Amino acid sequence: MAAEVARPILGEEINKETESLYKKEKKLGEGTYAVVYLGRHVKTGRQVAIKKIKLGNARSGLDMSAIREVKALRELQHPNVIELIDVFSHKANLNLVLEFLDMDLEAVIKDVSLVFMPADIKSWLVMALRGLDHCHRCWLLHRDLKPNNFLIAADGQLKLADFGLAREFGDVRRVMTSQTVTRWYRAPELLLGATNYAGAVDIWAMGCVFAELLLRTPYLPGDSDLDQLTMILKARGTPSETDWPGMSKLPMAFKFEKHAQPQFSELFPGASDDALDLMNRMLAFNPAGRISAAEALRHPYFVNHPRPTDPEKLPRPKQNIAGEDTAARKRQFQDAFDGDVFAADAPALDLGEPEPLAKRADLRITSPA
Amino acid sequence: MPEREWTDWQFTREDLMRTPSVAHGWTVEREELDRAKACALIQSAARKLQLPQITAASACVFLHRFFMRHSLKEYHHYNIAATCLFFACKAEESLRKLDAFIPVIVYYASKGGRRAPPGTGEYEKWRAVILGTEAVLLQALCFDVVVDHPHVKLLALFEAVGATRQLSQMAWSFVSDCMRLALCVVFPPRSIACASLALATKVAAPDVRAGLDDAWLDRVAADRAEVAEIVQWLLEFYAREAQSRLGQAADPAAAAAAGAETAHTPASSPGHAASPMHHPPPPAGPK
Repeated sequence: MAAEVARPILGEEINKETESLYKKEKKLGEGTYAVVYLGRHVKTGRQVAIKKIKLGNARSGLDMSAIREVKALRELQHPNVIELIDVFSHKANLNLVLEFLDMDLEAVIKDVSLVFMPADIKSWLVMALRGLDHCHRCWLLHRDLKPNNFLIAADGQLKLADFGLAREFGDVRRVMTSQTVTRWYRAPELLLGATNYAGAVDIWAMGCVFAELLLRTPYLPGDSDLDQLTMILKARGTPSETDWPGMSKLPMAFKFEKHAQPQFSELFPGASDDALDLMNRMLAFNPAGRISAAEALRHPYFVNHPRPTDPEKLPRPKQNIAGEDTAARKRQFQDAFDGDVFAADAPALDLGEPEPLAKRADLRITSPA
Repeated sequence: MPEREWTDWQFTREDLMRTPSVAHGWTVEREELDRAKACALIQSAARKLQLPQITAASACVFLHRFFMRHSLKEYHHYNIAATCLFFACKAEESLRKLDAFIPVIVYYASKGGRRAPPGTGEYEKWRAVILGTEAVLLQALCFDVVVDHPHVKLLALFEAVGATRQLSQMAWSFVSDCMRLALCVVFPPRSIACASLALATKVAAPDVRAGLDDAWLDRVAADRAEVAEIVQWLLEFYAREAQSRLGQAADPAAAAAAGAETAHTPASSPGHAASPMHHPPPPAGPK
């Protein structure tokens, strides 16, 4: 650094140098705050994803999610977290150069032509938990875990992505918004308005994803916040004050209707006892009693037979994100409802019309900022 | 959390004598004063906006880093102060709306002389500056938005040495004053924290000090040479600032302005330093 002052290399020059290293090739998709391009490193030919952050609305400048994402990914380096390769700005736009990953777990779950073995599910879950454990060790909450934020590399490695809602946690004095995490994966304490929470909210979401891997369909697809809570209570049984001390003190707590705990082994017929035990610990009502990512990784489920599948041998759909065909996906998804995963035993999980794809699109809640 | 690398942004004191501003004709003293004024603006506005002190501290660090790469000739220190604070609000998850933010900045930047409610030309001008400079700032920072602060280390120190509440408050206000100087781009946060507490123990009355002597510096394995250098730098700055006030006092109009400034930026003459009770109380800090 000292040398740089004598021979000044200004921020813009470094920036220009970085910018010239990548070229955009094709638009992959567009989200609320960013456009994603497929790009390439000019010299090495490495494929990258370039996430161009739209200039925030003129009211508040650069988007908060973009800053969160840069901040989080700069701190995190882990095989199960997406790699932030570079950052540069072009005019007023911010460009994140990310590792290019062409598949996500949602597409894998929805592809009915794929059969999941218990060892496959274990493999995805252990990779997801390793990535999450790393985030929590760095005192970062992801706050938006869901199947399409778990990307899958060509070698089968699963990676946490989309850190637009991520933030630090651990300071008990700081209030955080409870309006976070896509509804279907939102923990009960968030639905009840908790403003001080911790890694447990990510674990709940992870538990929902675990269940989704077993069921091959979203586990708790509520269509409003209240419906979400009702759905959780029906699916998990209403907790008592001893199950969840402090529950009634949350800002939006009310007197719940009583629901008995269903028989999980009947709801998840293919799941082993150790898998169900881990899932139940991840979906414990009391956030303080919910298993942590580090503890989950030490759960007997990961020690017991079968061994997790080698990531390279995991099932994956033939079509990747870059050549995505949504119509085909939607049809496949509806087919999935013909399966018998939701047998008569689960009246609580009356899904009504099978159009979750459309709903899923609306579910993405805007950045709490 | 792993101890963060702060050395990416480490400069020497000699580097501060050949900054872009110095290349544009600023004296080292003038640059120091301009930066200090900008940080005072950040701190006053942050207090008024009820921002966590960490947000203000990050904004100060951003500002000092920015002026290691850009010149005061091209970027007015108040413009950068406003941009840094606004950006720090985002980086530290303590967002404020521009509608509330700009009037406060204008109030303190003009020493209470101007109002800029939304819709006025003055407001629009500031908005354009803040939003237009944001990307330049982020570039200059090399997108490095995570900052370690001496404040955090200081809290740990209070516990380690068993500082009294009053002593803690004194050290806390010294650390705020440290943020106005380019200390954060020369020394690691921990040394700055140690120096603030060391200075507090030095100037505190015996009952406040409660028997604490220098020995704790060794107990916490502080770098004594760095601590001494920081303390000296801070004291020299207090002296220079007091002198520049005295100089201005010869001119009645300037004296009035200086008086006005003192009113919202409870700054740092040695007299103040010994009784820093006008600073907000320490740890209860971030809301």
